[in-house]
Amino acid sequence: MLRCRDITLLASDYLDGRLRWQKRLSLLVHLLMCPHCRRFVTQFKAVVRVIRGFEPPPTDSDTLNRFESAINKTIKHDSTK
Amino acid sequence: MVQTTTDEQGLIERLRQRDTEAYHAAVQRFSGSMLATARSMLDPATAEDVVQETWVTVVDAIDGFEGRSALKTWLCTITANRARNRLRRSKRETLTDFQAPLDPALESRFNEGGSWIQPTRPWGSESADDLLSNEALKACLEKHFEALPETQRAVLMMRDIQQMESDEVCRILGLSGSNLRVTLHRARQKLFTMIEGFRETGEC
Ligand SMILES: [Zn+2]
Repeated sequence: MLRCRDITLLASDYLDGRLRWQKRLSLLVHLLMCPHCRRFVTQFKAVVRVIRGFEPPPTDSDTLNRFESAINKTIKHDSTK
Repeated sequence: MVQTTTDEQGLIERLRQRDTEAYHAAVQRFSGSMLATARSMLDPATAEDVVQETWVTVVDAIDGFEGRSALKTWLCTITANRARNRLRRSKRETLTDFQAPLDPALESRFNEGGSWIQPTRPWGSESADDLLSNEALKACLEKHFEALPETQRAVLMMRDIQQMESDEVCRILGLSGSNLRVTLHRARQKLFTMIEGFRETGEC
C-alpha cells in the first residue's frame, strides 16, 4: 500500500511516465481513494506545465547583432578558403 | 521521435547552405533559449561568450544535425556542453549536491505514518495557462528559479524547459539517472511550494 508521502515522492516519475505498471497501478488506486493526493498531483502537474512553458526573456538587439556578425565572419572566412 | 516541422526543415536546409538570412532568423528565434541554458550554469557575461561560440560552431556542425530532436533542443544541447566545459575550466566542479528525495517543506507536512497533516489546498484554477496569466506569479517564479541550487536549476532548464534527452543531461552534469530524477523532482517541488505559498498569501 502506498502512503500519501509516497505519492508525493513518486509524482514526477508518474507524470514523466517512468513508473512500472505495478507501481503506477497502486498509485492510481491511491488517487482514487485519496482526495488530498488527487489534488496534490493535479496541482503538481500544473506546476510542471508552467515550468515547461517558460519563455526566456527577450535578448537585447546588441547581443543578437554580435552573434550574427560572429556567424557572418565565419561564413565569409570559410568561403575565401 | 522526429519533432522537426516542415518549416524547421526548410530553415535547416538554408542554414546548411550558409544563408545569412536564415542565420539571422535562427539567431533571433533561438538565442534566448540558448542564453537561458548557458545562464543556468554560468554568469551572464560568460554565458553570452558561450552562446556566441556555439553559433560559430553551428555553421559547420549543422551538416551533422540528424533531426532526431527539435533544432532548438539540439542548439541548447551544444550550448550546455560548451557551458559545462567552461565550468570545468573555471574549476567549479561542484555540480553534485546530494539530497533527500523530498523537499523539507513538503516532508514536514506528513505524519510518521506518511499521511498528510497539512494537505495542499485547492488553488481554484489549476490550469497552467491560468497560473501563467498572473504576471506577479510569473515574476516570482523567475526569482525562485534563479535562487534554486545550481544543479537543480541546470536540470530543470535542460530537462523541462529545453526538453533535452535524459542521457545527454546526465552526461553533461555528471549525474546518474536516478540522481537526475531526484534532482528534477526536488526542483519541481521547490517551485510547487513557491506557487502554493503565492496562491495562499498573494506574496512572493
Ligand atoms: Zn493520499
